[in-house]
Amino acid sequence: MDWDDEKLEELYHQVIRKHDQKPFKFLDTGNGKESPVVVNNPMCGDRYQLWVDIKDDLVEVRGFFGYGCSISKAAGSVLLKATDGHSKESAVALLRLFLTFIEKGDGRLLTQMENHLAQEILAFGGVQQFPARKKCVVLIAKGYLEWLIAQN
Amino acid sequence: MNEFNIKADFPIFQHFKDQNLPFIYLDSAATTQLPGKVIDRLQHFFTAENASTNRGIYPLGWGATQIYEQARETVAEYLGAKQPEDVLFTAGVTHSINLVALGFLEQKLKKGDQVVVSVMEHHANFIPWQRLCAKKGAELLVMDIDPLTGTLQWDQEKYFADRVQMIAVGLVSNVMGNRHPIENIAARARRKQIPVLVDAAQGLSDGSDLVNKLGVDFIAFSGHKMFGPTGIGVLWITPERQSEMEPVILGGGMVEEVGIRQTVYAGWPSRMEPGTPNTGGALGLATGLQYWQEGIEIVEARTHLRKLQEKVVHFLLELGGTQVYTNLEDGRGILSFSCDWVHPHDLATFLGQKGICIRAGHHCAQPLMERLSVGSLSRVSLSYYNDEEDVEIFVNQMIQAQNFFK
Repeated sequence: MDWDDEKLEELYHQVIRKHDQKPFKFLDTGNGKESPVVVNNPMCGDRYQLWVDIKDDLVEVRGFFGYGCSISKAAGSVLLKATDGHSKESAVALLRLFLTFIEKGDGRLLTQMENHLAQEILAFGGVQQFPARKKCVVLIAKGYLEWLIAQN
Repeated sequence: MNEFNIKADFPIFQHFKDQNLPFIYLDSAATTQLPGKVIDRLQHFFTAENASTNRGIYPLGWGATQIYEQARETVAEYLGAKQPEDVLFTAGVTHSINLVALGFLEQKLKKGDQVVVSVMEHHANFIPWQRLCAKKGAELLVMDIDPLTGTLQWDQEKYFADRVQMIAVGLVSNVMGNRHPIENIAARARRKQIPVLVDAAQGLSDGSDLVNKLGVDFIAFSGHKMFGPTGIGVLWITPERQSEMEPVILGGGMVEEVGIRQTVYAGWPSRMEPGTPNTGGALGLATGLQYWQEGIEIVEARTHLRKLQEKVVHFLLELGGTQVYTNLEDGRGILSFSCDWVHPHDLATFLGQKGICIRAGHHCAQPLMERLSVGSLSRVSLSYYNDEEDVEIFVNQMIQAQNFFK
C-alpha cells in the first residue's frame, strides 16, 4: 500500500475539480420525464440521467443530471462536452478509447484524436492508482456509449 | 481515564504497525477483525484437524465432527438456546434469512397476507420478503422511522393485524446504529402468534442469552461481524417452528435415504444443512464468541465504545457542513454522516489513502437512503478494539479532507 499525497493530487487533478465544480450542461432537461439514458452504480447508489439527441448524425447534448461523486460527475462532464456537436462515429470512437485508457492505462490513441478536450480526458489517468474508483470514471461513459451504439 | 484497550488481541493492528503504516479500521459493521485466539485456533484446525465432517469414520473425520458439533453447542450456549439442535450453521445472515423466507414462509403465505419489515432493513432482510410477497400476491408493510433519530415507529395496530404472517426486523441498524425494541415487538406479535425474525448481524455483542431476552422465533447472524471468519453464519429457530420448516437446498448429508423415486430427509438439523459443512467457519465463529464472552468485561467495553462514538459525533457536528445520522443513546458504535463539501466516495478515497478505513455508499440499505432523501452516506463503525488514538487520527484527517476538498 502507498499512502502518499501525490496520488490524491493526481486523482483529484485540477481538471477534475473544475468539471466537478462547474459541470458541462449539468441540468435536468427532462421536463419531469425520466431520460431513456440512465446510468447507475449499484455499489454506491450514484445515478445520472443523460439527455442527448442525434440530429443529422451529429450528437447534441442537452444536459445531464443526477447524484454522484466528483470523479463520476467530472468524467461525465468532460465526455459529454468532448462529444457535443461531433459525429456519432467520432463520439463512439472517443468513448471506446476512453474506456480502454481507463481499463489499461494506455492513452496514446486518445492523444492522437482530433479533439480539443483530449488532454483534459487524460487527466483521469490518476485513477489507475485507485482501482476501486474505476467504476466511477466509466459510469457515464459506458451508458452513453451503449446508447449511442443503439441509435440507428 | 479510559483504560479499556483490547487492540493487542488483534494481530492485524500489529501487522501494520510493524510496517510503519497507518491503519485505522472504522468499518467493523461490515466485517470485524479477528482476534489472535480465533486465527490461532483456525491455523491449528487446518494444520492438524481438518477433515470432512459427518462422513469420515477414521479418527480425524470423527474429530472434525466433534469440533463442528462442539461449535454448535457453544453458539447455543451463547444464545441461551434450549438445545444445540436449535442452531443451524449457514453461510451468513443473508443465507439464514432466505432459508426462512423460502423454507418457512413460502409454504404459508397466501394472496392478501402481509409481511412486515422496516424501512431501515439491510437488503438481506428486505429483498427476500419483497420477492416472496410479489410472488404470492401478498403485501409488504414497511415500518417507518423518525428520520432524525432512526427510532422505529412500530407500535401500530396494522403491523400486528390478522393478515400479518411474519415480522422481520433488524436488531441494530447497520447505518444509524439504532437498537430496535425487538422485545416489545415480539411480545405483541406473540399475542397474535405472528412469527418474528430478527436480523442480528449487528448487535450480537448485545450480550448472551438473546433467545430468552428477545422472545422471537428466528435469529440470524454472521460470524464475520463478531470476531469470526466470513462464510459462516447462524440461524437459530425456536423448537416450536422447526416442524414448519422445509429444506430449501438439497444434496448430500441431509438425507436418510435416497431412492430412484423418493428421498427421505434426515432429521433436524441435518436436513437443513446440506453439503459438506463449513467446519473451520463454525469453529472460528464459536471461538470468536468465546473470545467475546470469556475475555471481555462487557459493561466496560460498552462504556468504551459509547465514549468513542460520542467523540466522533461531537466532532462531526462541530466540523460544519455535516449531517449525522445516529442515536447516541443506543451507542452501538455505528454512525453515518454526510458532508455538504464532499461526496462520501471521495471522502472514503481520501481517508483510505491516509490508512483510515471508512465505508461510503448506500450500505445495502437503499430504502433507508430514499427515506432519508440521500444518495449515499459515509459511515464510521467502531468496534471494541478501536481506541482514542484512532478517533484522534480520524478527526485530524477529516480536517485535512475538508481543506483538500473545500
